[in-house]
Amino acid sequence: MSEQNARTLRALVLLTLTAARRLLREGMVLRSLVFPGLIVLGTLTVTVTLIAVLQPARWIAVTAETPPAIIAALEAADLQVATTDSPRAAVQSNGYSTATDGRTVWMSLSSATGLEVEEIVRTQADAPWIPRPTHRRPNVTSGEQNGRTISRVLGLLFVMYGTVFGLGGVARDRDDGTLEAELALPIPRWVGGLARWIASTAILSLFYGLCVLMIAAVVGVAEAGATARHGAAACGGGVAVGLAVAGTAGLKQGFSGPFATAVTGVSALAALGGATGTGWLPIASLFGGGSGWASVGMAILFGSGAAALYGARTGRS
Amino acid sequence: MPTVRPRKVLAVARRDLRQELKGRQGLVLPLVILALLLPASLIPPPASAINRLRTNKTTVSGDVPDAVAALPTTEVVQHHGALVFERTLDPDKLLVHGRLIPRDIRAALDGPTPVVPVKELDSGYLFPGRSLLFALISASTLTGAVSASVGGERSHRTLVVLLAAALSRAEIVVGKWLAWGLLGAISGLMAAGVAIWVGHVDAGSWLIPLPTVPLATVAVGLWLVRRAGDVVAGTTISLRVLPALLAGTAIVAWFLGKDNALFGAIVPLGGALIASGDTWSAQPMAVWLSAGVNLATAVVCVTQTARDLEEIPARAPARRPTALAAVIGALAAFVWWIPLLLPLLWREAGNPTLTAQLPLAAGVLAGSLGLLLFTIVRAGRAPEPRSVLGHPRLGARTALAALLAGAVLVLADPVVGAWSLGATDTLTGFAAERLHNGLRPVLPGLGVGLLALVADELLFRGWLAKAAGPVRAGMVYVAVKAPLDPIGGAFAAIVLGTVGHRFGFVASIGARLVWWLGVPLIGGLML
Repeated sequence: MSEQNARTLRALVLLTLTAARRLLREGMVLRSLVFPGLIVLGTLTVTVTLIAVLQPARWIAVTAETPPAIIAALEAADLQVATTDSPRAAVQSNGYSTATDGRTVWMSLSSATGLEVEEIVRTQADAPWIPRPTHRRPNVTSGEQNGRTISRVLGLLFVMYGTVFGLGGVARDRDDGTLEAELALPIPRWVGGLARWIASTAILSLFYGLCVLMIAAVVGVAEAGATARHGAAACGGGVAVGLAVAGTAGLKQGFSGPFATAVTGVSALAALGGATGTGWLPIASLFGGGSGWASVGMAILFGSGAAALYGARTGRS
Repeated sequence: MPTVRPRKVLAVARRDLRQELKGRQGLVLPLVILALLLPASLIPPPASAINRLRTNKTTVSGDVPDAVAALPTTEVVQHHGALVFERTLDPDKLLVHGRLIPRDIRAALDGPTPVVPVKELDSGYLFPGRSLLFALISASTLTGAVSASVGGERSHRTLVVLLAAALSRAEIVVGKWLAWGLLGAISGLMAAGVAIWVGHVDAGSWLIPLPTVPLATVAVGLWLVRRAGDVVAGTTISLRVLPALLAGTAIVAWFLGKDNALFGAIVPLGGALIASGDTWSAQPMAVWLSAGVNLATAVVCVTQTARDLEEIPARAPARRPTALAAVIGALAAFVWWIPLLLPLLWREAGNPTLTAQLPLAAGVLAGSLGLLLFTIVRAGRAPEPRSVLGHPRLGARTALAALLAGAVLVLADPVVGAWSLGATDTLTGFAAERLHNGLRPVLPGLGVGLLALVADELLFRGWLAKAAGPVRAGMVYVAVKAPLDPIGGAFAAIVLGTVGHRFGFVASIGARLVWWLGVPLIGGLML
């Protein structure tokens, strides 16, 4: 390795470490990285705890004319009954999902207990057909599907952070003079861009990976490894978009315009992934499919491209 | 009372807008706002999509009656239909297995005179219409502008110039608020005007709260980023908090307003957002109240931002050792307990299958990586990363100390490890068993076990012991890792803390390793 290459490599490592430490030292940035996992897991914990402690009852409205046999059958099915004068009003405006007078069943469109009540009433009325409601109790498979959906949505937030790190990092360094000092170093100009990309992507991927692991531990995540790889690739893609959009303009040419462009672009890519199932394009693949390796490879290409663009633009500025 | 002179305020607003909207780059933000708002105004109501949903076919299987099979909305399949029909002979009944029976299938089964009439009722709750989008989009697109507004001035070193000039803090903040708040308000109203003009919505009192949503959102955003040192910090705050705040308050407002709109209207941000969706137009009081609450929120936020605006934001003083230990303890407890203990709660919440199927190894892995991240972040933030853990002492004395401490832990394990607080077959018993796997050497898998003990020692005998003292670090260790086994936890903390304090974290890792491997080895020999 020539001396120049060795110097470039050393500079890349040092600049990457510096960029990573700068991000970690900023308390607000650190809180932002912790925030998504904290909110998701905190909300899940509170919800499950409340359900476990309160064991919410399922209430059904009945009338004074409802036959005792039906009331007994409802109670045997773990349904709590409350007497009302108007079963229709009980469903329409008093918050009950189902009501019955023993001959008719009133239920809201989203009622989860409606079929259960109808089954009891029809059985008592000796009706020719009877519904048999099937319940889908969440198991680890349905939990894993939900876990993957939560991880994907969280991934989108990390992609947005990536855009901010890529875009805002350059703008900030330009405006506080750090970029000028960096450009004075005897190294190729793309090194600064690549260092920013590696540092931001590594930190975002680390925190995102931990979020996926945590969710996998508490509800399961379908294809957790692939989900984490797609997320890491998406973070890399987000940083690359930010770097590419920012150029070296800095705040002197405004931040909100490039930021709005980047966020809209990132959202469009995510929507594309959801619609087409693209598995190789970073950000889109977060909502697509595949093992995630192709997407990681593409993210590295995007990062290199964004660093080259950054180098070319700083060369012109 | 701060001075607010309209001409100065306008000057600040003009400067902010000129700075962000100048040149070719400056056209981008208005174009993005236009690109998002125009479709919301111009695209016709998705009637075709609703019709498509209504005509979605239901798959049916089993003993499907002819009347049901003949329906245009059903599709007979061989197996596993959404509805499965089963004819029983004694008694002669038709059972319909499924989760939802559509109206037309129910009518076909019932015939002209149903034995049990079923009335499916709309709950009567009002949902926001498309005009909510105008408020939401016009408020959301200003995230970047709001984030750069204060943080950008700081990193640009222009805030000091503004503060030194003949401008009061209130004038600076009100100017910035008006610049972006009015841009959002005008954009939202223009989008609403276009939608009314093309006939997709009717004009109504929802137009009153609509402009207050971006006005209040910008004010809250400015308050959130008032201490941001640069755009990165500012944007990460507004990006994570503002959408959550808008969505969260809107959900709360809608729930509160289901029975009485006035309750929903008093929720800041969300109340006006729901009202701008033409939800409570029949109740003018609620509409006006939501707009008033939003404007009051904006005034409070602007006032607080003006009060706190400084060139260099006040930094929190360095935490004292006890406070540091308490904060790290709380965070470590969250990181360790959630992946290990939350799966147990599924059983209590009525889903024991899920608890049984969630592997413990995944919890230990996630918790350990979380604890390791504490050390990584600490090292990253320190001026000299290597100093965080202290210099590792290697040599024969360190190895001997690790061996001896490990041996003590192995020999004492049967005695001190038997005093768990959790009773068998109770939630605390199961919790104690799971936590036990984090403290004791019985860990699922070599890699996960090694990771767990290294993460523990780097945190509790490494940097926390150095930053908060070995006693506090030991207490945090017992509270986080062994809250239901305090005797065993305290004994381990004393032995490992002593060896770690005297010989460094490498020795305590060695002692944990001996403990980890020694207990099953001794157990195997005794068997």
